[in-house]
Amino acid sequence: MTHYTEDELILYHYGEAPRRDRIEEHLQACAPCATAYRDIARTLALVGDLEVPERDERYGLEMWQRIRHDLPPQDVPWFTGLMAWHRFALAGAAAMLLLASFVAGLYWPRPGAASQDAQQASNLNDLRGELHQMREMLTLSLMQQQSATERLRGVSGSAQIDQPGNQIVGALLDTLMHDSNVNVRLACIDALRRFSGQDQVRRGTIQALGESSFPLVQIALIDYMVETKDKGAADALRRLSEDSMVNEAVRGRAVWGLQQLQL
Amino acid sequence: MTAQEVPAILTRARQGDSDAFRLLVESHSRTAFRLAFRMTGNEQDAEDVVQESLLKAYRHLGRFETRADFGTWLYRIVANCAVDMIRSRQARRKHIWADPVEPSESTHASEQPGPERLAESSEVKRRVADALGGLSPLERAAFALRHYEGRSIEEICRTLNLGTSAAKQAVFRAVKKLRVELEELRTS
Repeated sequence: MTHYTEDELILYHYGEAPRRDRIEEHLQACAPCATAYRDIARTLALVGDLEVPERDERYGLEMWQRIRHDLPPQDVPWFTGLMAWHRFALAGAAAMLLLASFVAGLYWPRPGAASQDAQQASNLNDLRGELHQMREMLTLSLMQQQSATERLRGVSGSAQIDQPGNQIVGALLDTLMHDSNVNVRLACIDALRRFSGQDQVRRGTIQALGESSFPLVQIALIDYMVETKDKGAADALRRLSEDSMVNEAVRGRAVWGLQQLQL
Repeated sequence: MTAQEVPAILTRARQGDSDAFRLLVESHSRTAFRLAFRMTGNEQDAEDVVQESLLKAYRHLGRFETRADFGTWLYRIVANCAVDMIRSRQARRKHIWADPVEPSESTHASEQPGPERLAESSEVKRRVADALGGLSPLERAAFALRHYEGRSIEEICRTLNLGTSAAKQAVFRAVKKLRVELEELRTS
């Protein structure tokens, strides 16, 4: 008589052994296999089931409250890049512009050495201007994307633009006020630091401090106000420190902010 | 959240809409906790696993196909996070000199005075918890999925990304180790 192995009996216990009927018959006729099987079954009965601590219906919401401010940027799958036609269009346009400038430089009439230098300098300036515009367009386009990761790239990309125009600063302020993603808003605060001297940025950040409901963003804005020594934020900071509906940590930070600004 | 609404919610969540993701968190957290607890056997570890899994799911939502079932996808993430948690817990214990194995609150009865049977039951639970604690992370995970969750070997393979033979062997080794560890209890 061929006996069943321990592995086969474990599978049988969990209902995963092939030819179950045969094993059943065998267990009735074979004492050693029946003993081995009883032993396995007793062990697994001892292990039994774990009493899982109860979690009520509010648990999902509690879990959300715990993670909502820690949501990481989403990974972008590789094929998204292929589908982002606008990036390719902009890159293509920039490449065409470079090529056209190069070809134009080769065939440009050369009346004299001095005027040739002036012409080259002028062409170079035009080219720089075009590239600057392209970069701004790309940044603005990224900031309007649906993916938070793309928007984050747009906001970070703004730091690479020398002397960005009002459009970029406006887009950063708009994103700071309305973006659904906390990380994007936080990146905006960092990006706006170099424009902290501008009136529209001062007004915009103070308004964002009053309107934001994300504690992390509120705290980052308070730190920003202290860092830029913006005494115009006094009212907004006082309102926050006195509002009982505001997160306790934010209220505490607002008090700290007022002290730092000696208001 | 109805079944008809799920695809639209998933699409929004994939686009970074945190409100849409909140709905998914609210509807799947309890199931995730149950699995995490059964795999780790510890309430605090299970909480950490759920939290870590949800953050991981959010980060990788772009890889998730909206036609697939989000619950199944999340289940796999939770199971694998639980394996990592057990692994790191065991590594921590190895590195702490003379660190006694702390019985988990959930698996150990309180020391309230009670009938003899209660005390016996408490002792059994402690011994079972210790025996489970002696399994390797993979054995523990495969065993929990098979024994507590009632998952087939094929489902265990898919969940833990294992071959059929590896999944079976992990369950077999787990049961064999438990038989040895619990022999005294079984015969008493």
